[in-house]
Amino acid sequence: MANIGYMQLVRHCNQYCRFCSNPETPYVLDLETARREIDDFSARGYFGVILTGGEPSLSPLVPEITRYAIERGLHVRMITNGSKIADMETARRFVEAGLRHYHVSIHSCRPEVEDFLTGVKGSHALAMRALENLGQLDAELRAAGTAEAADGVTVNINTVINAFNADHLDENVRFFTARFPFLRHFVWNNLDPSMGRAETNRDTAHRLRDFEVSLNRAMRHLAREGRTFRVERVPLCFMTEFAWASTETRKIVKGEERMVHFLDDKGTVRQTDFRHPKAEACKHCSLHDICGGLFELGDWYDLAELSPVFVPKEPIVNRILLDLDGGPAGLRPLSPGDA
Amino acid sequence: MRVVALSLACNNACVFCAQGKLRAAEDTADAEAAVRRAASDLVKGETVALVGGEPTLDERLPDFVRALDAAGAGRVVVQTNGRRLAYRAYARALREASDRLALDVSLAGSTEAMHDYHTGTPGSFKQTVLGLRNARAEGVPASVSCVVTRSNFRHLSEIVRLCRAVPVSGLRFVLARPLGTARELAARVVPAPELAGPYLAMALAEAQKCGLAARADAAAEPYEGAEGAFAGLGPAEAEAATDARVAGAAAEKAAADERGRRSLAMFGRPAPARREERSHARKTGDELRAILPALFEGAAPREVADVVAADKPVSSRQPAAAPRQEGTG
Repeated sequence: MANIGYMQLVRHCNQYCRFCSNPETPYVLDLETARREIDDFSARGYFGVILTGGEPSLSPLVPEITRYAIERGLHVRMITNGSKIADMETARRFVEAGLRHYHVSIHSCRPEVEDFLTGVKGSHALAMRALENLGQLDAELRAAGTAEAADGVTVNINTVINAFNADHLDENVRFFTARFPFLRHFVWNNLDPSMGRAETNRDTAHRLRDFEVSLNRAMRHLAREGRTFRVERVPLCFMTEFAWASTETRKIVKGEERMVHFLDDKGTVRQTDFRHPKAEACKHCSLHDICGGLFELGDWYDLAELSPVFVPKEPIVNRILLDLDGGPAGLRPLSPGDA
Repeated sequence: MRVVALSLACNNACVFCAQGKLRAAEDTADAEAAVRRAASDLVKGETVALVGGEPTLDERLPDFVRALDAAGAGRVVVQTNGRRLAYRAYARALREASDRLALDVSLAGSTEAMHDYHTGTPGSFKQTVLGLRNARAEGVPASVSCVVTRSNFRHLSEIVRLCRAVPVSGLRFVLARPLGTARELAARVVPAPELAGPYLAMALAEAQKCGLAARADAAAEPYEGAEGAFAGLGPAEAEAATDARVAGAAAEKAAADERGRRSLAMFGRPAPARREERSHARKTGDELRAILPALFEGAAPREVADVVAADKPVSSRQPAAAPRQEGTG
């Protein structure tokens, strides 16, 4: 099992996304607390940690935390808006500390939409520069040819699906894969409406059907190009052909958990149940057992949008268990010869 | 083609039923008079379609067919779910009424689970398929109409193969339109044409490969052709806008707004979150111990569901929605 722990380094940010699910608090992680978190994840047998926030690159402790986590045998990655690593020196410092996996949050390839969503003019341009820097560092590491640097830098794009980008998710992936061919993996998070700024900025609200076609086009594009992706908080009837890429479904099938140390009064939260509410019609669905359902009943998304599908479940389960699309190693079932 | 609407009564409760609430209204139609009128008005050789509701629920159906045959109809098409023909004697009675009878049978799935979900009627798939086989055994030509929905569009090729296996004389796919029950349940029922389209094309290619006459219609208009095999949907509750999906979305949004789900236009600066604390103050060290007791005091981590429930503002807690009724159309 590849459990991943979330460490919030700070909760302040140099952007002001109108759907931010972890808005500002005054708390900042210190090194002692960070070590405790890492020791705890390590003791729990976690595969790795994700440095997040707020904007984690605003913490001065990124290199030290990274080095400590690596010493403890954990894989380290960071979710960032890219604004700090748009500075090559900073990017290089992080990479040299061993931080070689980045999820850069970009929600639209259209500069005016990205800047509007993040509340900061110029954030699209900074994110582009961050991607260029990471691409260059990736190439440098690979060229070095040492065993330690062989895997280069892994760069993923994280996108929150919301009312302002729901219609052009496919345009996003076409843009990013054409301009930054080293991008191998994309992550879509359907807007978390339960807390944070999305709750007070309801103009970010969309219906599931608003993104269905563009998400489908985007997933088809990536699948055709041999790139991988994950989709979170999207019920399987809206991504049936790519059900294996659902974060919830993968966690249900693999029996994974995740844990987050929040820098607010939620504190430490462990998630072992990835099932959200379902509609009455879902009881007819062949994927009922492995579908996460619909986040936040009634408050925002509408259960009336869910429809049963009748595709076979086993190929999806097998694809996840056999890890056929090159994600983190999953459970491998015994082959008949091993029995 | 002359369409004669009999009763709106039906023994299925399809999620895509175009008649919707019409069916709940008191049935005042005089089926016998309607058939008599059609028989006296029809041009010799004309096709007459008998539609419902479900025409086989009317005990006089064999008599109606016989009367229209005697009046010179070239073809009498009965639009049916075919369930009653699961009784071989009934299939025979219909066949004996006229050798110019043809059936237009509604099938919504290639499996029991898929079809029965759409009809809202457990057991209906078995009866419909047996009905098709009995029609075949009696020599009554039967074609199939399949309403394409969000739940079956991935299986249209399988429906083709099932129809080929029975076999049936023709197959027609019709994209679900937001009429009647399908209007009420549009979000659940009406598929995005772009997503259903490729499956539809594959199914039509599959049909061609196996020699089954198949077609796809954008709308369930009465259709005369292929020997007048398809009857259309009969009376519908309301007229649809031209773009089914746009109309469906608009109807859904209006219904959602009525239920109190509102999107506020706030295109200016974003508002802060409820629990946002913006300041230049920074809390760390001992202050972290207070919010992370799992790290410092060995407390158990919290579960997500508890956190979400605790965070919810009282004002946004809505009463649980009444459970939706399945396929009440």
